[in-house]
Amino acid sequence: MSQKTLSSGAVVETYPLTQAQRFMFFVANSYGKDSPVLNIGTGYYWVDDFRPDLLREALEEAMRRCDTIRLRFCWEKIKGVTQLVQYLAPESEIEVEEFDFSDIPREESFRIMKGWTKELIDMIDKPLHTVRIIRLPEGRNGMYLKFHHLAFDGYSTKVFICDVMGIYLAKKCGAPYPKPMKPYYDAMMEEFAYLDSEERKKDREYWMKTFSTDSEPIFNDYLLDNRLEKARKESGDPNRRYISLFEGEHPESETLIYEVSKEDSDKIMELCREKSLSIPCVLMLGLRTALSAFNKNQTDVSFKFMINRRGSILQKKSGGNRWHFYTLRTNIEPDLTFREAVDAVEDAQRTVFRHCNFATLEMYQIKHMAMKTGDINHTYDTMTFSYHAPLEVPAESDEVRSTMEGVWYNNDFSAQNLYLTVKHRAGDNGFEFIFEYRTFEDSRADLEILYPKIVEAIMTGVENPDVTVGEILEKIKLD
Amino acid sequence: MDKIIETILEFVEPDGEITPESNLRTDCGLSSFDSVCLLERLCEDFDKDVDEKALRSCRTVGDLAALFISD
Repeated sequence: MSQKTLSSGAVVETYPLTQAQRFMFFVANSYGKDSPVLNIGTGYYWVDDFRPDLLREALEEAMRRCDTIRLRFCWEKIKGVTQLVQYLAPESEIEVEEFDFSDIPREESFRIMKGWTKELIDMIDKPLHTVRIIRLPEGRNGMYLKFHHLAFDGYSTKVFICDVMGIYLAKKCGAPYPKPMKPYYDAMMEEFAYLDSEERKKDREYWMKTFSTDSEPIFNDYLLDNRLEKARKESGDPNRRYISLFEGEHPESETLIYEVSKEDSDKIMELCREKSLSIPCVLMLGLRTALSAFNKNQTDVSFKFMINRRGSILQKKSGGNRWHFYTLRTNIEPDLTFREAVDAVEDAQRTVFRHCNFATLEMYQIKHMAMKTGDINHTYDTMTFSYHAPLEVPAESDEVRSTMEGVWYNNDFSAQNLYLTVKHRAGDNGFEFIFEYRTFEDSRADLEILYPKIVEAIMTGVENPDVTVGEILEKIKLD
Repeated sequence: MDKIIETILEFVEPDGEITPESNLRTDCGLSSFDSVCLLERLCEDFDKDVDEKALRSCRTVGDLAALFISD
């Protein structure tokens, strides 16, 4: 920790990046350099008797309540090495512009806002946000938000939207005022305290022991033209179990979005409520079963999954980026029932959760050393999965809620080859599967086969939780 | 039991009152991640080591409390 004098004359304390920020910055620089890969663009819209004056007040107030709106980054020389550090500016520019797109088609305004999202953010000593009021056709209005991924993640963005809507409704209809946000400083200090803690030592020991005693995982491809087979032939090693996947030359990406029907989404959520199952674990079981089907019914399947690490209320409401990425490795035999397999996925997930404060980068270094792959670009993990749990955004009425719509303006760049993000639609809470894939890989046709297999695997289990994984694999087998 | 409920409220802000019968997921709104963090926190507070797999059989606040409070 050191001090910095701002151009305003104010003196602030600077702090190193947290481990989550460090990983995000490392990945962006290694695999998506000079691209807007860390820009998050989000829209949130609804239909009501719109009060733009009150929305402006709500946005301004929410920005003042959210510490990470004041978060800034700068370079600092620490022990002779120039490093990116962070500080909280005493105050931030609170600027909310208004744009009227009510006379142009939605596709056109989408293109414009996507363009805003793709504009590079100058992240040194500058605000890392753009907040705008947007008017769309057919009485639909709302907000466009652009944040830098080192200052916000998907969870904190959604919490910000909830806060804005809570304040808007308090001003417009006298609804109860939302509870205050929590200090980013406290959450950051908690992260730094972990680095010198007994807990970190235990987590390190856990991962060292796990990787030194675990059998070697195996790469399961989502491409039908299996790259592990190719890597085995090219390397002359018929037993090779990993491939080299990460590279920084081709970060351009596209998205493929699928919507699970409201009826099927409701069935999945109802089963989870009734049997007290974890929704993301049901989704991940569907994914790993489809990957298994793509890879000769392989029982050992690994992929990365995003952990937002928001347990306590302090962690939930203090903004920032807390994402760590870990491998979810599951060994599921075909005689397990769907219900038992969900439990097995959740057990594996819980074990990772218990040790996931440990830095992602350090964990992968330990893993690669233990597995002797020799290169951090080698991987057993086929893709990255993330699930965004629904946070209930306050609404004036059920009628208004049914018009609510969240829009993701993707930046068309990805640091890794394939991300699958599952979200809930704002209007009817149904699932949306978003595949963000690098275009150079030419994976679109295979993803169009993979997606229905994932959903069929899930729905087969939802209709009959006693069906075995082997029976599901038989049902979804490739033609 | 009060201590358990008090600790749960450091992780979630449920609409209704939490009782021993409350379902951890549906009534309290605890995610899998919340539950693991909560378990870890209770292990520290009660100075007891409980494996995270024990959460598999915990449906209610009472089930969770039973891992830490003896009759």
